[in-house]
Amino acid sequence: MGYLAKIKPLISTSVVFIASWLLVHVHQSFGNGIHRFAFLAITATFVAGIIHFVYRGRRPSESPSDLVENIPGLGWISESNGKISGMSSQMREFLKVPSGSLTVAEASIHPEDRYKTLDLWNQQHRSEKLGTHRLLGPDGRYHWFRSVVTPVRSHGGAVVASWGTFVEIGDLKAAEEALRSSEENLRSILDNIPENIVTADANGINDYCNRHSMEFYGSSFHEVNGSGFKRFIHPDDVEQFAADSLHVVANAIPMNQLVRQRRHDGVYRWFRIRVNPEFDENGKVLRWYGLHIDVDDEVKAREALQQVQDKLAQASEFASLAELAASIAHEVNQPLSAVVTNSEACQIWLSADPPNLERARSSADRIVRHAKESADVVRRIRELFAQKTPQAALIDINEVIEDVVHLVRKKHGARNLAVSVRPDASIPPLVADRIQIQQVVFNILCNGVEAMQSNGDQPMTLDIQSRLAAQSAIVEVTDNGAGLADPHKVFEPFFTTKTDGMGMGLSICRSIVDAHKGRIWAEARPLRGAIFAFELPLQDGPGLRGSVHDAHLPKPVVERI
Amino acid sequence: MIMERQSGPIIAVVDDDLRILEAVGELLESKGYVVSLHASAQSLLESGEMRTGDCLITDLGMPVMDGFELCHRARLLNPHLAVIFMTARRGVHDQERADRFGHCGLLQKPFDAAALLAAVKRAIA
Repeated sequence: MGYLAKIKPLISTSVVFIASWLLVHVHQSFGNGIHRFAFLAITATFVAGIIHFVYRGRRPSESPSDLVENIPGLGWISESNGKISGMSSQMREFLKVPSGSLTVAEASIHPEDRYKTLDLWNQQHRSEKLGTHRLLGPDGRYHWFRSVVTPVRSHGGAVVASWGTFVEIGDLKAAEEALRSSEENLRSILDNIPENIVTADANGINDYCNRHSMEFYGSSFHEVNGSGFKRFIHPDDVEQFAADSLHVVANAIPMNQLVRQRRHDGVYRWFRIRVNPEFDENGKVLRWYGLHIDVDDEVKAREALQQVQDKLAQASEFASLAELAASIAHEVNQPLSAVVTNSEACQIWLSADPPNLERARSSADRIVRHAKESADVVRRIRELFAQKTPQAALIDINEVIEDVVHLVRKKHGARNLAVSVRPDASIPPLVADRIQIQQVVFNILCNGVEAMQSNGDQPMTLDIQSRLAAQSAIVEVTDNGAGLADPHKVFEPFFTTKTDGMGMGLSICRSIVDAHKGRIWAEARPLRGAIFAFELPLQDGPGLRGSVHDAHLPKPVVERI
Repeated sequence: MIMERQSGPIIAVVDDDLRILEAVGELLESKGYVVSLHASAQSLLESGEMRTGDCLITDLGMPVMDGFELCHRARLLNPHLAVIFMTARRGVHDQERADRFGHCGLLQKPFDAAALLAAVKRAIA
């Protein structure tokens, strides 16, 4: 049909020419003048027809609607009122528009895109418009297209029509979709990683935080990014962190450090911050990538473990001493029991009638042997203690008291016991073996508690006081127990007023204090109770240092076994 | 280890500490008793003396088999066996267990000879 339209003028011109020719030959008899004139006129008409045909053939066909039908693609033309006046055969084919119809079924346009697409196609636009939409193809599937609508203007500038073309962009859309999905996926990964992810520009200024970070800080990105990040660092860590950050950025090196960061509820948590730089091909830093791992639980667990280990070490120190004391008691007790029994047997042999001198002598031999064994036990213990080298260090005597009071409270906590501590904070650190001084304090306190067991209904009160003297620190322990009959004897070995003690504890306390060039003493209080005190020289006095390694320090044992 | 074997009441003494074992044996012999000394519970049980023995004096704290276990096994052989316990330990727990077994004395080391002899007297009365 398009072809016919094109050659129509040529056919009509040819018909006129042939008809004229016949007419001229029929009327030749009418005269040469007319004949010639008619021939010339007919020839001119033919040439004009040819020229017209050629001329028309170089321009669009007489109707744009006809022309658009043949464009090798999908397109249409609409009139100035927006109504479609022609469409390409490919478009007709693709959208299944029946021959003779110019109406695109609405169902051919994806429901989500329908209004904007109809708007784009049917409205008159003063400038070129673009739009993307899905169209239902002959395969029954929607395809993505991009439409371009271009207004056609008259010489006067008025919009007289619009050209529309659309090209399939399925591949482009798929690529865009894949990219978007990939981006979404990446963002989703970053946002859902349960750690804080932070990036910074080449200068170390934060430019990205993942969602987890934002939730942790409870702040918007704008508050966290840039240098605002520092506001979330613990005040004790911020100075160091800022200095380290500068160092890391200046030297383009990775960062790995522990820092406390403030959570949205104001709680600080420990984080391990690891930051790595990304370099360009010239080795210049492009960006910084940081991962902040919440290690608070681990750090706290480690601290707790350390505390437990310290306490355990301390407890086992005391426990082993208690065991040691029990085994010492047993070691001494066995030969002494044998001595006692043998002595009585010896007496019986001697008092028999007649005396059995032979058996008495063998009993006496055993007595001597076992008595020597008892003495040996004591000697061996002293030797054992002497092998232990005291560890001299700077100690805070008030801290030692506090530690021991804590232990004593635990040990005697259930009892009706009131412990008061009055530390003198002006006492400087002094050189001593911490464990041994703990033993001295522990022994004195336990001794005091034991002495108050006979108090009955009267409350047990234990008062510990430290104070600074001219050249020494003094610790005084006051109890309201049974008191002391002979304060000078309490520090002698095996002296005890208790039924189940060995009488070694205070003796060992004296050995320890002596080895520290100090002094220990006891006094009875006028009405009830006793005061035990010891004095340790201050650092610049004749302290432990220098004499510590050759001092034969016995290891203390607890009074109770 | 059987030191002597004569007629008359037999007193078995068990203690893993040879010094105590010897001393107790010496004391009892000085008073004319016949003693059988053993350094372990197994030694006494293997000797078979408990079937006919009159009195058992045993230490409580011994390795492998303690005094209570020995008492229990000896009583299976000889239900009316009189027992005297010796111990270097101090514990309410031991006192209670000893009382449940029934005994003629629980002697705390070091003990007086008079206490041991009084207990023996009760045991073989």
